[in-house]
Amino acid sequence: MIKVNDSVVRELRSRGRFDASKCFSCGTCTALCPVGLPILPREIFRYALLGAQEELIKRQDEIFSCLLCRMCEENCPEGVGISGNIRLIRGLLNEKVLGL
Amino acid sequence: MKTRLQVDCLVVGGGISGMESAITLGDMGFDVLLVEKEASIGGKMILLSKVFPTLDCSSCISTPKMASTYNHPKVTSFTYSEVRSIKRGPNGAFEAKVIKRPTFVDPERCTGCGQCEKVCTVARPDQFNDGLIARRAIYIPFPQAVPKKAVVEKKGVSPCTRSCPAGISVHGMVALVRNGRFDRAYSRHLEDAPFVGSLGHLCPAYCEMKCTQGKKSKIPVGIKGIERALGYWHLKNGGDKTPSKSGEKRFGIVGVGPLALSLAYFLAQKGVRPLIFTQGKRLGGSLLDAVEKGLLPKEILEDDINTILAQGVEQKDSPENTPFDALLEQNGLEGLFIEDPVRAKESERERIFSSPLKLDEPHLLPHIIGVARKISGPIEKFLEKGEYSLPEDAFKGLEGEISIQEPQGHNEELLPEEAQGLASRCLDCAVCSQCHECMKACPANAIDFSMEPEEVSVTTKTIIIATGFSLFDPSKKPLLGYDRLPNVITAMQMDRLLAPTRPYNAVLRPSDGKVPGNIAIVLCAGSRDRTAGNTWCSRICCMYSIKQAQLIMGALPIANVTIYYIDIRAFGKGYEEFFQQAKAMGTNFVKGKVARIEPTANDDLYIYYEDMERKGGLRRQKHDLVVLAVGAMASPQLRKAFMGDDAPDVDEMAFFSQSKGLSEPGVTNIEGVFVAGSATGPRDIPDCVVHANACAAQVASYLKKTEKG
Amino acid sequence: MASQKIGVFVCRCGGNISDYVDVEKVVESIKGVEGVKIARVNMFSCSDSAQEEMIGLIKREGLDGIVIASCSPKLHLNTFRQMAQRAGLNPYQYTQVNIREQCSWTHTHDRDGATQKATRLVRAGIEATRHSEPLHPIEVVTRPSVLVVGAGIGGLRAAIALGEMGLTVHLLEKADRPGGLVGTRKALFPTGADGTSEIDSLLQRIHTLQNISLYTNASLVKKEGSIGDFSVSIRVEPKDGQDRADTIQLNVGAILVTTGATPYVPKEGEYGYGAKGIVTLREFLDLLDSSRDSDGIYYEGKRVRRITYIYCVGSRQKEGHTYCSRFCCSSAIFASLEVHKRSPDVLQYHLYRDIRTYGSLEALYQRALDQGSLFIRFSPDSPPKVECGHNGGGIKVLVKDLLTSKRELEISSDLVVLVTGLVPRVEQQEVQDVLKLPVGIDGFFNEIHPKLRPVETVVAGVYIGGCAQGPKNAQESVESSLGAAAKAGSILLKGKVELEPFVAEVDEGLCDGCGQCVEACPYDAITMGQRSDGTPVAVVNTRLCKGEGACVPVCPKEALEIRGYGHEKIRSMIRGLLTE
Repeated sequence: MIKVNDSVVRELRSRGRFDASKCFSCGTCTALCPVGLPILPREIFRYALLGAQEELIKRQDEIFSCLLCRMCEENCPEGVGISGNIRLIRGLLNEKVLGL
Repeated sequence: MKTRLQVDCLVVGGGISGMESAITLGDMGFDVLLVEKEASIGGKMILLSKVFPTLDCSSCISTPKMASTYNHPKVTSFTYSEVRSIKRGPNGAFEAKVIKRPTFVDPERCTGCGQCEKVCTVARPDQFNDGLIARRAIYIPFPQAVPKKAVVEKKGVSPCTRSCPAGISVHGMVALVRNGRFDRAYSRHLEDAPFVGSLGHLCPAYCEMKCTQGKKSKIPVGIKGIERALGYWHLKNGGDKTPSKSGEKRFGIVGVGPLALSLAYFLAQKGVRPLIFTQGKRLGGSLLDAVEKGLLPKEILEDDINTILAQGVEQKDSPENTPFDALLEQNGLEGLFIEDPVRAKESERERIFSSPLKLDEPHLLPHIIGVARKISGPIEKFLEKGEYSLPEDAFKGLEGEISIQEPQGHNEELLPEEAQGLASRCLDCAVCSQCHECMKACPANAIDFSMEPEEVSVTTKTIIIATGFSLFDPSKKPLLGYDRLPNVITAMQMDRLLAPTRPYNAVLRPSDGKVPGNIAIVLCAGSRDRTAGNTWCSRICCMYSIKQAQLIMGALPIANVTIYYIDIRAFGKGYEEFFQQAKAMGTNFVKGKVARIEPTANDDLYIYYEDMERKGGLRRQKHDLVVLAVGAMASPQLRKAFMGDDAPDVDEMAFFSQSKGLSEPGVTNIEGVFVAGSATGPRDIPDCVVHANACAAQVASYLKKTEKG
Repeated sequence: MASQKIGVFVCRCGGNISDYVDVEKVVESIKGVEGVKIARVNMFSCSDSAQEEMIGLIKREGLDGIVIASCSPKLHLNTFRQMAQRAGLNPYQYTQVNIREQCSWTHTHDRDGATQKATRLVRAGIEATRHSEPLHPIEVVTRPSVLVVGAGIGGLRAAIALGEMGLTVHLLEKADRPGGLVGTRKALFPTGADGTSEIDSLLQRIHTLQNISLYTNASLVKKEGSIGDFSVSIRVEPKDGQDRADTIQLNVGAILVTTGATPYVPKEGEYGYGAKGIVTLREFLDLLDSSRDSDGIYYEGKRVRRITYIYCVGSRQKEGHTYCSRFCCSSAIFASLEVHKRSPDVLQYHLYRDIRTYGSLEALYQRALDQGSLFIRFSPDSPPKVECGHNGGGIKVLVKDLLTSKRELEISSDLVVLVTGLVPRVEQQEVQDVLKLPVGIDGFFNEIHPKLRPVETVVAGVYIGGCAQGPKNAQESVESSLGAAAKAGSILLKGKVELEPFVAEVDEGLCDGCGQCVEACPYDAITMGQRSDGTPVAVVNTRLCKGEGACVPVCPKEALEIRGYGHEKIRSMIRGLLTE
């Protein structure tokens, strides 16, 4: 059960432009990601938008494995700034999890 | 030719919206002119298989509309026509110039029998099958066409033909060789000029210099080689060498060179009876020197000369110093031509003609033939009526030509198959090659290449823009592989495979003709996608894909159909139920936009998507045929026709704007100009019909108001 | 005079027929039938070139009647009648034999059987043509006036169009003021146009046009007559100072039904409806409209910070309202944009099945996403649960999110908006009964053909537009009503309309005045009159007669026949069917 809240979104927005809400869940990003292990950017963003910080922490390996190659971003039909959003989430994880 | 027409409403576009508004306005009693740019009315609707959600056969419901429109007493329809310009006249009405493009087929005579299509030598992608198959340069749009008449796609004259000094229809010859019709290619060449084989050895090949393929790929089509091959072919297989006809009027020619021989040939073709005085020399003149130098095989020259003689040319020896008058008298000649300009000066008088220049260099052969044709006309006229006047340009520019570089000759024989290979590189620049096969095949003698565009000046009080939309070009999304993968087709192509007038009478996949068993339909291919340049939803694709799924499962009962979607937009009357019906029939609906398509073994395809509602994560799925549900894009070309500042506004996706708010559908920012149907934005058929009628109501109100005031 | 030189054309219909029926065999079998001069096969009879060929044959061979064996007359009866006219024939000496819907498509597995049946059907058709006579349509002079039932935005705009075409319009409105659902809306999607001003400006135009009469508190209670000449009764409810309703008689040429639809009202308890904080879409829009100058969103005095929208309430149901209500996705999303404009801090969650912002309305969806609205997809098998606040606590909505691996989400909300669609109005029944208009399974009025004739009904002269035909947004209602106005105009502006000549005829010599026919006719088209000698005789009113034929078999003297379907003709057709 996820209690939906906007705490994560507010945190991320305080750090920069987090525009993941533009996503309409088509799945193009996930389908084009060239990295071997499943990064699933769309799902990661949904957990962020839903405020499920623990899910983001669970997925930190994937989040940090993103090459920022922007294959997803170049082909996103809605123009979501995927690589920028990933970096913001990394910043959040750095602080909350890794204590950096 | 100019004609004038006055109407109450000019409807531009003969698709469902144009037809519906024309019929309604006609029923109300207004005079309507409908202008359609293709050769038949019907728009996209007539090309469809069945329509959603009723699964009516599209042809069955469209053809009565088309017949009603075309036969409506108040509606005049121009097909194969375009509106070139629109401007407002002094009294508020519009003045439009409509160009009726020449079809090169007389519609009064054409019965739509289709014999011409069978023999045409040029193939083009068929726009009525969305490029799935080819049609010919002369074509009948489709079996239910209204009107059902052939038209010829002809864009002027191909550069090769235009450049030929001998006046040969080069493109026609090449196209016939490409189709393996060597006998027809040879006789087509002969219609224009003799010396087929000789030209193939001696001509500088101006055609190759101008060839578009040469400009593109640096290697022009090997036209000279083709001509050479024809010469050899004729040598081996050449037909009847007996003279075909013998003319009435006798005309003498003194000389044995190419000019004399060519002139004799053209005169014989025109029904004159030429007589060549050889005066002790062998026929061929300077061409014999070319043989001597090894530039031209002897048997080729002989064959060419025999062909000329077979046209009906006689020869006679006579002493060289016989006076020309004597020649005329003794042989009952109406006139005489002296090939050698020097000798001609000896006697300048009536009935004796000559060329002012010495024209006999072998590399000038094409020019010589051209000159011969140019003077054969006036000579024929002289023989008929007694008047003679040589055209001024008969010898124009040839002085310069004389100093051209070393004549090039080739000796190697070329086989017919090789010639075919050379001809296959032709790009059909002017489309119609003017091979004239259609003219020969037409039982109604309907083909007329002399047709000119006809300009019609139209005065109209109102205009309805009903120009529809165009389909998204999927090559703009390279990851979907439309350009590189043969089994990725567009939805329109799929609809054509399912339609009653379909090309293969079955659903087959392009690469190998296999009947597909596992079909994927990719929604939002080029819609809701800024990377495709279209952020809007195209509105019709969810529904037409669901329709296609149902039809495919009906046609191929064991096939699997999967639709990959973002949202299913089944919003209209009966649409949601139609969607549920497809699900019940077994169509798989998978949420996940297809991001990439790659080939695999046997020309099958892998589609890549995120399987978000089932197994999750990236998934690769194999299919043997993929249909891209391409969207609707704007087609606002008509804007260019509006002169001055008064062009109708378009919105951010370039569709025509309805500028006066929600209570005024169909009204643009220009008074008197209305817009109907999908020209305003993507729309399905019932919404087009409703909108077209609403537009007709607007026009009727406007006309009634302006009538009063 | 009956046809003796008949042309018979059997259509392949591009395979639709010839795939299942041996059309060549049919032609062979009937070639020698009495009266047949020419018999052949067409590929597509309806195509222009085939029609030209048939016209040529008719003229050259001097044919005086034709039979075309093809698809249903519903599609092409008029096409071929017009073709016959162009060839100089009387269009009623043409018979269409349906060997597609009634033969090839129903017997796809029995080629021999289908071929035999088609042959018999064609024989019957030949007999029909052989016994045909030249007939002429009955011309009715039309009245240049229209009755428009329903003065919502569609009805108002249609009335203006008809008025501008020069027709007299009688516009009825059941409520005490016109405007319908749009009249109270302050911001209509997609542009935010003000519904009240739209209605006001339409009413102004109506006042300016002198030929439109608006009746409020009025309903249609009776209709008689037929296309071009209807006689209708309007009841106007008593106003202040009156004690009785008024009944007004009007004569009109056509009737437009633009009675609209009504918002769905959820059942008590449906998604918690009935409890505080649960509102329908309409209630929410009213709330927004009534608080336009406010700095935030307030519900019952309290500021709203979290809104959850649940889509498809009352639409796309498994049973009941199975249809999609079309406008609601766009309407709800547009409302969320309004909310954001007023109060950007409000968190908005949209629980949906499919987002149907079609065409250019997609831009609304993109704006909502950009502004931070969160969209959560649920399956209809597992709909959201609404737990209403206990002890003044907030509402909780529980939903399994298909987009996040079906994880269960708990969304705290101050306000839950049930995005409800449109359903047919209960009052529609009255209009249905008076006009005898059919409705579809969805309960909305049915058009003749959903694709090509979306505003015409089976009752000639009666048209439908707007939400009465099915849910749609304001602009679409205007388009559809204008379309209906155009169709009405197209029959009335000519001043006359042609009716089919197939009406009943009485053979006065045989009629004994028994009156059975009068009772049998559902259209009250036969009455008892008198001969000059005073004896009773049946009299047919050809304007009311629909050629239905109920009167024919009840007559003990066989004194009634339907013109064009006489006894001899029918008997011959039966003989034709029975011939081997």
